[in-house]
Amino acid sequence: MNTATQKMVEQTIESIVQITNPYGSGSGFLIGDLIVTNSHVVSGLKEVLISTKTLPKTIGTVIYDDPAFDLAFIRSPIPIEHKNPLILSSQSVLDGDSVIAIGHPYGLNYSTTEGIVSKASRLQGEVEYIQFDAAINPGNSGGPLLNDSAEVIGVNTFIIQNSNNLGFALPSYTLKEALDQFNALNKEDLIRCVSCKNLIHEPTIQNDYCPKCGTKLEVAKRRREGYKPSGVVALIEKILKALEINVTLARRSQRSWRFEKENSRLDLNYYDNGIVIADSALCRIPQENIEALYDFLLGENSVLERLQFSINENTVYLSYIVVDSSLNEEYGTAALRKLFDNAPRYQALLLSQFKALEPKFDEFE
Amino acid sequence: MKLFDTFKTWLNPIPMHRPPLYGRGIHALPNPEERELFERASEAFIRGDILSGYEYFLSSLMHRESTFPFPHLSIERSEEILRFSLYQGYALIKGSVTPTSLEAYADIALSEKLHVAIKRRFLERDFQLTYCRFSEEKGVIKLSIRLDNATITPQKIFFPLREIALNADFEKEFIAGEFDESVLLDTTHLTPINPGKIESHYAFMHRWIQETKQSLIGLLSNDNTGMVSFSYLALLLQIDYLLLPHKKMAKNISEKINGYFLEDEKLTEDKNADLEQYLAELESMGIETFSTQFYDSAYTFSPFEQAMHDEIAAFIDESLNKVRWYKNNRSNYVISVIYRYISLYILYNYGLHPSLRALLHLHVEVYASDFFKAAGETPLYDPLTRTFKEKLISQRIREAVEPYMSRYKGLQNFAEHLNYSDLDHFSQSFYLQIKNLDYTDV
Repeated sequence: MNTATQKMVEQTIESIVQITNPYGSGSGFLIGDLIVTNSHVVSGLKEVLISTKTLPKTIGTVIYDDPAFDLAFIRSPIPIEHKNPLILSSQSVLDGDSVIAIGHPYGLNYSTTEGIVSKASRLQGEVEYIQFDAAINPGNSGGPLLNDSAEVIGVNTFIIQNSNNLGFALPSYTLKEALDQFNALNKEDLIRCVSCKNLIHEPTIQNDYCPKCGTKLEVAKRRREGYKPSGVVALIEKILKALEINVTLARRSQRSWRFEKENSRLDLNYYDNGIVIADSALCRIPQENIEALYDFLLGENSVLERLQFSINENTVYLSYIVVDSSLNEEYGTAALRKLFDNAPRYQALLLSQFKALEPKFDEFE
Repeated sequence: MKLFDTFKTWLNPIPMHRPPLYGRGIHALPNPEERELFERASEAFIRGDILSGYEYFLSSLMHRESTFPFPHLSIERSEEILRFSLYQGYALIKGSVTPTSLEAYADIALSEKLHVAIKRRFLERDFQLTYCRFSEEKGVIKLSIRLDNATITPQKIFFPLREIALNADFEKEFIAGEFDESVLLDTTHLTPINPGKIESHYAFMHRWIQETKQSLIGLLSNDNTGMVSFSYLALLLQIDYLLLPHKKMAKNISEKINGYFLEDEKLTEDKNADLEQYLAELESMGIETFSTQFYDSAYTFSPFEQAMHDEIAAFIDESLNKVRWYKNNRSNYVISVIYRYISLYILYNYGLHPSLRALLHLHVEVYASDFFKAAGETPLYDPLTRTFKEKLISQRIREAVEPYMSRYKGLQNFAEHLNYSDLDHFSQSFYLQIKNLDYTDV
């Protein structure tokens, strides 16, 4: 990447959005005050989590869901600061043009790759795509494909799995057409019918059928039903709500939640083997007085009810571990409250008294 | 027909096989009322009678015909509280149950003299364990669990109790093997082995090592690495199964055997060299050191999960294919080694149904007849005359199979299908029968 490209990436990064929902995560970008992404990134939900370099995790509203062109528009409740707004390219895309893809592959945020247009137009079904060779992976979906003038030439939409750099982006002219149609209707909660391609205002849909052509609209069904956890996941979320945690903001997947308490980060994971673990990485092992730290942790384990200290690799954890069949609201709430209250207190103590090091958080989770 | 069967049983009662005396795991027979007591525990918990539920559950864990001089599990119940203690090898677990909770702990070691590596290890184990945790209280390192009885079931007691018991034993064994200056607690139940038996074990170990070395003369070349591996591994498995060492010796044997299978990057020749070196270490070990590696104790939980018979059948199949390959390549020496190895490997690695454990032990007994003769048993095979005690073998198979035939529809006494023409034919026919046993519930 040359200096000009690096500068271009630096300027556009504020317009790049990370989008997560319980089923997965993807990328998006700002065009004006709208966040553009793929329909498959929002998974048919009305609410998803959005974040940018300048916006902490916030609940965004999906106001347009278009499975026909695999597009979705999201509204942020707070205006997002971005000094160098992205624009849609009006130039023709030619084979061999240089391109840059920006996104969050596998959650590795703000990753940039470059390549060329391998074929300017490839037809898949009824839709044309740009084929390019910049490496994209799961998580890049919905991110922008830029030309060397930092203009958006496409929305990164899919790859051929197990291939070598066969990426496909929805061209910006298709995106522009969708934006124009959306703006012309001046309404939110719009769904495009996969069959007749009309934009349907959601309140006019009966029993999930397209009022124009009668096709069953799967997206309408999913939006109506929303995300409804059940069983142990529902119980965990009930406990978190009782502890005044915003569960939608905390969700990282269907079985994983993360939240902050003072300076401590707390993770809650429900594993396939039925074990529920809530823990907080408090600190890393210091280089001096290590045995005294071990003695302290083992000593505290004898007085801490339900919680325990442990070490994994070089990090000290405070955890609450329970088997799903033994989790109930009363004890679960009490134990998690204790964890929330104690994690920041112990973290401060370990850092000051034992000169432990601040924890480092793995980005490859 | 039923009446006839009843008469037949009266005249010829079905004898039960003997409790296991060798190998890792419990040296007793499972409680014949285990299932009923487990169900009674469930019923008691459902009606809210928590202490009775625990009493039934703990009773279901009580073994029969233990060879250990005192009970492996004791229960003491009053109106308000139930107290229990159980032995698991090196560990003693003490617990108390009230209507609202179960608390159990094992005293592991004095904290003061523990090496920093052990303290680190305990904190790392705390990250891995599900139910129990290591802590330090008044200078004592403990492993403990606490369960709320609000939604208790027998399953919810079994797994935590098993976890604390197995880990307390394992960690004490580990400390004894790695840092013997540590002061381990609650060890008075460990019964010393009598010096005569130790001397006999020591002599047999040396004899087996010598025999193995002798048998490999002329085979130590690259063409024969597989055969050498089988010889060394079979020898280590035999030492572990028949002599049952503890502490460092058990740990080293486990590391050598598991290392052989886990270290994929290493050449087989190098792995064999490691095994050979360890055997040399065993050979040079003085009897004083050797004798510190042994004790007897009771076990409440088996360290193994019971394996599916299909898994064991697949292993036998794979091993018999190897036998066929060596036969085709005229490497006859290794064939009897593989036959010996198969039963020892299964006994070392899989949780087995008591009948299968008894049957595989029978195979070990045939191959190590001198050892069993020295232990006061009637040898099942005479290596000089190359003859078998066919009636005795047949009786032992009957004892291992018949008590369970009413429960497993495909379980058959196969004694009459064995080939006694020589040791190899015996093993081949024996494993084919074992492979075809069917442990499907009626």
